Amino acid sequence: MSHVWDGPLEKMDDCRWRIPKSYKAGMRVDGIVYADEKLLKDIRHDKALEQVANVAFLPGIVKASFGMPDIHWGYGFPIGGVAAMDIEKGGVVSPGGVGYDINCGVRLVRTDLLEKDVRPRLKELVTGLFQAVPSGVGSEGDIRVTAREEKEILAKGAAWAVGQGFGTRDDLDATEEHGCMPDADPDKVSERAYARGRKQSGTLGSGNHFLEVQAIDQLYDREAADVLGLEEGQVMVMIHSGSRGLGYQVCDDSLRTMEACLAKYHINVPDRQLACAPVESSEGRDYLAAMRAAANYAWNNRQCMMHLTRQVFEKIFGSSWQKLGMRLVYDVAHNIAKIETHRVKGEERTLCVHRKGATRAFGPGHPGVPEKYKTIGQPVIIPGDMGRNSYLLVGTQAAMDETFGSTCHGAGRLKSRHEAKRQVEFHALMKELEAKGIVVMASGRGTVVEEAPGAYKDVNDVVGVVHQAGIAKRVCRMRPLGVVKG
Amino acid sequence: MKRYEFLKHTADVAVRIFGRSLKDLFASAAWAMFAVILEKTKNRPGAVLTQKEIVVAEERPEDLLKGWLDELLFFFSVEHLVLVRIKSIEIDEGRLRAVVLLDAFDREYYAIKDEIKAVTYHELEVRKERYNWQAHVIFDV
Repeated sequence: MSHVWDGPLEKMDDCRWRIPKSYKAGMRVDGIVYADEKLLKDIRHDKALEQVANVAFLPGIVKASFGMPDIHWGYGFPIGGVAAMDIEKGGVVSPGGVGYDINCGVRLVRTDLLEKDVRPRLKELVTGLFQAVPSGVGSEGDIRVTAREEKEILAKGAAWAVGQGFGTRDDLDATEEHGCMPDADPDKVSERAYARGRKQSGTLGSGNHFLEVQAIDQLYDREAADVLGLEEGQVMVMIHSGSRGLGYQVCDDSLRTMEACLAKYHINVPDRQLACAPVESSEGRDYLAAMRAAANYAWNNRQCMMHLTRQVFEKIFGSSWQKLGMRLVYDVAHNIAKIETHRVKGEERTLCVHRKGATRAFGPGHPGVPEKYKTIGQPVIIPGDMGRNSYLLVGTQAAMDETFGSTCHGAGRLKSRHEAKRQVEFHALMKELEAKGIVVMASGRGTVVEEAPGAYKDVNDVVGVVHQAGIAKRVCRMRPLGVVKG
Repeated sequence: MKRYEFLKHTADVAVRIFGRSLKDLFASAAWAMFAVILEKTKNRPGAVLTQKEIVVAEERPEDLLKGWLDELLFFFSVEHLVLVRIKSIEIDEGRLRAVVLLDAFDREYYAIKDEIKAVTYHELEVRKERYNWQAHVIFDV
């Protein structure tokens, strides 16, 4: 790639780098990027680091504008960015700091099955999942809801699905925010957004979204694994999806409104996509109310998909999902803004924490962590690419102290989709995956090629950095067996 | 003259768009967007097309372009309609009025490439060169 970022980057230690606020007039805090030398080399090749510096311009930002090791070029905010704004000090909320796919996130389901139980029926299983969970561009599902129900979903989140019999209360307890952010206002969501989301409940979507059957291939933390009910060889299901067309439209609508706010509130930012408004303004409140509604839609969506998944397992393995031990380990968002309390310079402050391509990673004992995980910290789910690994980690006190309880979210793109398409041949890739024992089903060949393992950074490197830095702790690693792609 | 070219971008799709006039540029942008979303695999004999009128009013040409693309994207994502022909397009003092013909999406005739989440404001630009018009658009996919 021709562009190489050549701004100042000071090495703090083996996995932390600083972009000093002196880099650009207008930066209110430093930028801090978590990476090792190897990852940094790739990170320099797009505009992500410039974006870390740009985010530091936002009013009310405290501590630093953070970049995670999977950081790459986004719009306004980098993907893999964390920024927290002090509300009392005029802190802003920025839709670009959340992203188009509001509450894009991951959920991880455990099973009592072992790889050897699943292997002989893997093709059948993946085919079943592919047929049951609608995927692909503009995919529509069988879960049809009326306009009134749609509003209910936006207000209730995953509890709506549970109310329909698509899961249990335990599922909600193992979901960030119990699958529902309070103070969501379905009336702040535009008609256009409703129209784009109406037929998409319980659908996977396309792009990097997936549903995978995986097996645990390495344990790092016995104690945490015991609490989570996990062991080596065990089969897991990971679902990665978000708020679909509804969320995209909420973001798009709010970017428009917020752009006018830059002049209205005298906010100086170097990029239009950093449009924002004070949290305590009508525009800020309206966005947060709509964003929460979209987040609830996403949690309901993943709950519906897990229900469909359980049904497929029941059919194929001839037993109830409860008997198969298909318990939800956790569901976590990685595109979201939250009002949280954190210590800043020794003082408790109320902050608007933006996690754009970053995962909440609350440490042991935090009230936001489910009771059963209190001793180990909040589960953090990190999806990788379809040919390599995914991880389960737990949040730490160090993350609370440093990054507002946040860590990385995935492997992070390395090559553009275009480049991947040019370099990867579909049949060769399918052969390669088959040789590794991975069964892939996708609605489009293009997506598979774009999502080829080589298009991503190695998730092992990314997770290695956050583990070493202490902003999350490895529990176990998974390897894909079967992949459903959009 | 080519209508568009794809540029390097890590996660999304960046496109440079060309046109002889502002109208022509807008048409190119629409074709570029549908080229990102899908590809026609075979002809559809006797297709019944849907006609739609699009009206957008925006001061800045960039916003007008985004507004135009947003309308077409909405037709595709909600009504599953694919742009087939731009019957007319007029742009005058921050107002666009166009009549388009759209085909119902069918996997039999179209192969899906990427889902566009949005037409972004990021590095969005419309400018007049000496003899033609150019735009830069990043689609979030």
